[in-house]
Amino acid sequence: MVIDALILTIQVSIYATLLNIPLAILFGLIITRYKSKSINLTLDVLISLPLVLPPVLSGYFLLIIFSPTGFIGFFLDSVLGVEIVFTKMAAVLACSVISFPLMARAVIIAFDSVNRDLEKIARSLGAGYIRMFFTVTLRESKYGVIAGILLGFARSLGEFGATIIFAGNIQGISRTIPLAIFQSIQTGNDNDLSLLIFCSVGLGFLSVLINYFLINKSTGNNRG
Amino acid sequence: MGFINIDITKKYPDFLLKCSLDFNNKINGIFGPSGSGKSTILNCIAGFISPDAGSIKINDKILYKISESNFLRNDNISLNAEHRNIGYVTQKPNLFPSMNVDKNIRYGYKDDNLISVEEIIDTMNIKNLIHRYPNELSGGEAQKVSIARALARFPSVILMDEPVSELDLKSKLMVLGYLKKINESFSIPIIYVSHDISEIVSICDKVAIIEYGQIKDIKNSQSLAYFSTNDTEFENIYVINESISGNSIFINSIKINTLHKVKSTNAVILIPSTSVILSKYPVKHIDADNMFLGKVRNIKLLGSKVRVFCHIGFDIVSDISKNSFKKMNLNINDEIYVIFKSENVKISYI
Repeated sequence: MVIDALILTIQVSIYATLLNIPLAILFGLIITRYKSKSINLTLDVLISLPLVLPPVLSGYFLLIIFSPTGFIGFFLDSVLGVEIVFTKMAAVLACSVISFPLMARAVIIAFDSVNRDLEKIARSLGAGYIRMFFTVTLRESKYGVIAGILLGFARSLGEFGATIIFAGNIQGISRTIPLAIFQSIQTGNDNDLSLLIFCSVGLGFLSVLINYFLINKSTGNNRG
Repeated sequence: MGFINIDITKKYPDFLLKCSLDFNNKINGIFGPSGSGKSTILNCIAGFISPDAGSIKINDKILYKISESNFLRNDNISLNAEHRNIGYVTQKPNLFPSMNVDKNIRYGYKDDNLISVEEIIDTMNIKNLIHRYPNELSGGEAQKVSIARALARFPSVILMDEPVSELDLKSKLMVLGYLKKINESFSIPIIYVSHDISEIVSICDKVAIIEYGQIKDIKNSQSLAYFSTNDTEFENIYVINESISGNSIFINSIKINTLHKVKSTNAVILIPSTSVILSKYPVKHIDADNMFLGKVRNIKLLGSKVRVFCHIGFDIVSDISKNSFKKMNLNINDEIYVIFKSENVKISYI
């Protein structure tokens, strides 16, 4: 049970992180480079909501939206024949929604710290927006962006509330480490509990440590 | 019609920029106080800011043309910044921090360029820097690399937004010298923006004076010196490439004695206006080995002092006290002896 939960947790967290990366970059670029106050405010609120809402409530909203009677769930079910609720995909989506604010906020800060004059100069040197983004914006903010990605990944590892509501607590499908810990406490399985706690603390510690080094490198890089 | 034609308007809630300029293919200056709209003009030319209406043309290539009366006309043109082929040099060197000097220079290089990267590196004398990273360069070196990077694209014009204002005196003179060299060697026109009158007078051919977003006047740079409006020190700066011999240099064939042996023919000379002494009569037995007979061209009262513009085969400015001015009873066209010590002739080599 412990190995299954560990593998599933890492899988779900990786998928959730991969799902979030393009969105976080897109939101980060719009908020830091687009000068519309109303659009920026709307996006900022959207990004921050999962951070302030109870994860259980976020899970409940996902359940409503993706259930076969919900407006996305209905489409997926009737047109594509895909059901999301209580699947591994649901666990991925739950982790993705809950970890997105942390990743997006870090990416916004990283993009914001890039000197805009460097971007202007890149464009004057013939770089279009895409070349400018990859050779200047992303290159100069890479440590901050990676730190954000890692922070999102670390948050996914510990996600519980939204997952249990939206994906259930099904062995091999949605029982990630936090849910397995909950299960072990409920059933009094102390052996598994100690191992699960060790895995959880170990993974979390490693992520935070790498994050710390990346942030340090990022600020050092800016100083240089 | 000049080489560069700009006729634009840009409205902000509290500021209106209205600019009509014809510049030649030499070094052209835009001079004005902070907040007068100088940098906005450069940003409009580079394509970072879109004017509300008007046109921008460089060597007959239209970069921007929007009619105020009809924004939807088919012949409206607004090229993106990356398609304008314009070099842009800012106050800070702004080199890409994660690329070494070589990569920075090659960033915008086009294979069909008329000049090679090697030629640029030689011209700017930065061969010893190419493997270094920006954080390993001094301010002057970094600005030289930044100019080389803009040059590597072989742009139709280089825009310079106060490129030497953050440099120490030696680096500042060196960079000014290189700008003159670039313009002469590669025939690339430069638009040089500054609020420092000494810089503008020393390297620019034609200068537009801007105040509150409006072009007040367009002058040749020497006559701009008379435009001094504040009593900050004026620096007589001369970019020279004339023959030298031992402890002397030549400005317009006038021999100037220097304290140390002159090392190179390409140099920039600075004589601060406060170190230039004026006398109505020749002075003997004086501890200064540069004395020239010239004429007073103009006189301007500036707060606590008087700025006297003289011509001694080349133009030179002297700042004297009001008291001295009264005692000397100076008038325009008076004959005057201009005196300065060789140790006050500061030299920076290119």
